[in-house]
Amino acid sequence: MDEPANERVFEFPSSVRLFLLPVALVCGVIFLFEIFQPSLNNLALAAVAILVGGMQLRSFSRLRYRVAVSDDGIRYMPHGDSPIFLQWSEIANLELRERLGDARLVNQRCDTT
Amino acid sequence: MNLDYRLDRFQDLLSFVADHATNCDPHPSLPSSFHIGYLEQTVVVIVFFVSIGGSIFFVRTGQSINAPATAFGLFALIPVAMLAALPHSMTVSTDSIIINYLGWRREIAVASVTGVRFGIERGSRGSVWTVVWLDRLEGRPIKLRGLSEGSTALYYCLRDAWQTAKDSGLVQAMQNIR
Repeated sequence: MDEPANERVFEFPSSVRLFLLPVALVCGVIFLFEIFQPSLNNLALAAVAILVGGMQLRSFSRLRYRVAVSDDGIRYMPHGDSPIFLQWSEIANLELRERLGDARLVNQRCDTT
Repeated sequence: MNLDYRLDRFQDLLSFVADHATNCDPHPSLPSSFHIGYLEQTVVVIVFFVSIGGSIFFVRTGQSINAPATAFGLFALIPVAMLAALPHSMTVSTDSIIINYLGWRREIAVASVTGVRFGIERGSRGSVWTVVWLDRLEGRPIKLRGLSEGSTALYYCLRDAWQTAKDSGLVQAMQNIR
């Protein structure tokens, strides 16, 4: 589908991703250190590093998309995957989920894409 | 489809989606009422009584210059100011928006509204919440948040009232007068 001329694109600021990756890298270094020089003293620290690093990588992978809106509808563009387009008439509900930090668009068939 | 609050200019995206996804608009019957959530009021009242309690406790120690009692007394003024600034209830009708505060009320003609839009506020510890901004012909925009009915319901209600005023020509007439 051709992109409409009046389309507005929203993406994540690079600062958001630049914050997540260094933390994951530091956690990875701590984990590797424990792998190559095993020590019972550092086991708890390595476990925490796995947990925190995993969470950061998970967040990072979830932030790899862009959203474009136009008068026709909304286009969800995940990184390395085919975009999903919803016409405005297909959206049945707008739900703000402040605790989860996102807004959820529910389409007419009552399933989320 | 989930849209993360960390997207750049998320408030613009939210306003755009809300304006265009017309099926989401419940078209509430006007007048419609909104109320502040009990949690916010309870927290403010607890802070007030704890401050007053602290002040009374230090006054009873009997010192002539009692800095802690004065500090607690002054601190108790903060929740009082917060209670006065928080809108307790709000009624939206086709011609006016009435916001009730503690001991006073503000009435805004719907025809004097120039825009309704979403805003995002971020707390210092990563918390995030949605607010609704009401732009006016004169005066600063009014920020509305903490109403138990939710920001989406408030946004659509205000927008429907404003749209009705625009359709009837009241908004244009008001702008011509100014």
